[in-house]
Amino acid sequence: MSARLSGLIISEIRRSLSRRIIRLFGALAVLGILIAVVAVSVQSEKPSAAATAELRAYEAAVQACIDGTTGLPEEFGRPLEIPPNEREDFCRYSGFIQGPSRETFSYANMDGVVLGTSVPLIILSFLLGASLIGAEWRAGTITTMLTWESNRLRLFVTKLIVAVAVCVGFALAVQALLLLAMLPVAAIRGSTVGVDGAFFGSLFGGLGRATLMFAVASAIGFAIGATGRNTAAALGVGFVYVAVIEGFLTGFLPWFRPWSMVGNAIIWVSGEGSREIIGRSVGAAGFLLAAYAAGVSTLATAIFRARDVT
Amino acid sequence: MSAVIEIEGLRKEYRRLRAAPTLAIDGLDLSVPAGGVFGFLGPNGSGKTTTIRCLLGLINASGGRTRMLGSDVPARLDRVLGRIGAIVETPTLFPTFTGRRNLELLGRIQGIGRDRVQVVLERVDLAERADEIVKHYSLGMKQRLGIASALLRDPELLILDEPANGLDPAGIKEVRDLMRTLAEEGRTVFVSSHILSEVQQTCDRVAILARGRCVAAGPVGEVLTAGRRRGVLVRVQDPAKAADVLGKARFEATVRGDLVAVAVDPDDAATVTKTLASKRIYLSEMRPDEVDLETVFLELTGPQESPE
Repeated sequence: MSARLSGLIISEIRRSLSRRIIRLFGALAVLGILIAVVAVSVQSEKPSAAATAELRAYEAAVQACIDGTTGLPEEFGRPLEIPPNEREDFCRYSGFIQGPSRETFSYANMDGVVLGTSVPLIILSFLLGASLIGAEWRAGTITTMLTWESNRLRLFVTKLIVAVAVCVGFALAVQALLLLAMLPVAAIRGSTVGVDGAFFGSLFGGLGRATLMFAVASAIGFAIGATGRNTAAALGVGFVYVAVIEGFLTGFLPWFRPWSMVGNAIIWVSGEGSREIIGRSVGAAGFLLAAYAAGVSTLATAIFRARDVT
Repeated sequence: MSAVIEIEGLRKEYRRLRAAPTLAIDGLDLSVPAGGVFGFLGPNGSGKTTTIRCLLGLINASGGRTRMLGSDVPARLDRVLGRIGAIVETPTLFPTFTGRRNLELLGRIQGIGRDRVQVVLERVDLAERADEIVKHYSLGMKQRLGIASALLRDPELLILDEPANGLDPAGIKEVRDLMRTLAEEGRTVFVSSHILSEVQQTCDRVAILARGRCVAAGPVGEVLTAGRRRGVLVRVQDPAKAADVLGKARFEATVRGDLVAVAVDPDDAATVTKTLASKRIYLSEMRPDEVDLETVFLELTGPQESPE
């Protein structure tokens, strides 16, 4: 890597990390995590030995149900006839397996919590991606930057990569902080029953899928912000597309559904199939989303290279 | 004298969806020699900033050829960019960062360290305010920070677009002195400005742009006197009588307000005083009939356009 390129990358990273929006959302995330820690600590109670045994029995029953070794009333069918990705929900929430009587925070549920927090973080990644470049256009610093790095392709791609890295890093840092912050809560006021290999598999699988989605969202946000030369324009386009255009297309044009960004994102992030897009595998959904991000980014790069900077 | 900027037949046409194309630059030819301060003048919309943007590759020219420091630009701009410092219109740096941090981040791109940042901050007299957020800077301070950013690379060629914008008189003088100092160090300063008196005092050469074309270029003195006869202005008690006396003595003399303008080489002004004194008309003042840049500018660019 040339000294000039590494200088540009370091400069961009420092510039991005110095942005107030990053610090603001970082502070909000820390505040949210602190509130969650306090709320869960207050609500949850350290289970007694009997409650722990009850919890273990419950988790074992749920696992047996998922594995199909526990019989359920015949009129509800056998769990093994239920699609694998729906078995846990069925076993846990259908009510046939009696849950623990007391409200105890279980760290084993954190994989679901991480999955849940991924959704706002994906939206935030889009916003940050758009803002990192939109603010540059608004301030006019792109003009200044081009008097320092005249190779537009190099400048744009560097900015895009740094923006995506910063957004992904930010989202993962928030989730890591959440996981770390809840660990002592589980140890002191909750339970770590069920934190096993399957839990970590589910957790890291979810984090891995969320990582790609953070990258996709930030790249698309950056690309739209760069093309519209404005953060607000990017947010408007993103909202109109997701809330109006894609809703209209999936509602009135059934052939479009397999190409829906939201539908594929649901499949990818949840790691489960969806009735919205029958037959779409999780991997295919992730590939399609990555292709969308690459396509939009390539188009934005070509536009940036060709358009006048006035 | 080698040219640091060469422009041949530069054209820039802006195309718009629902309007006729606008010709911002119409076959501009310009050559800026190395060294000294070169003033680039023109009324609003004459194409000055567009020309600078074309040189820096910010906008694509519709035609023509541009070269800087011997390289075709923008195609080979990356080869010479390290030898050029530029600010375009109002300097644009991140408003929520300090002045120092802005410069450090820019300098980082080309491996320029903090020592050099401190040097340029001191040079533009911003060192004491360098750790304040740019958003809180006055326009004049932003201009000085912009000049500091242009100086970071220790450039051979400085392109400054309206560097005195927003500066108070003291600030304007500082910028003028800075430009002169930079030129004396052997750099070329290419500056567009609307403050004609400043250009006249600061620049060695000027080019005047009107409607996308260069209408005059050369050393300031030549541009001021081009197509004009030299002369002197004479103040007397009765200008009409003095003009009549000089006319009869075969001088070309006209009354201009309470003065008499006489077309004569200032070196031969003694003949005027002698002629008037012989008729008992005595002078209270005599000075060269100089034309200021503003007059030339308005004549060349047309009365319908005001200086930018």
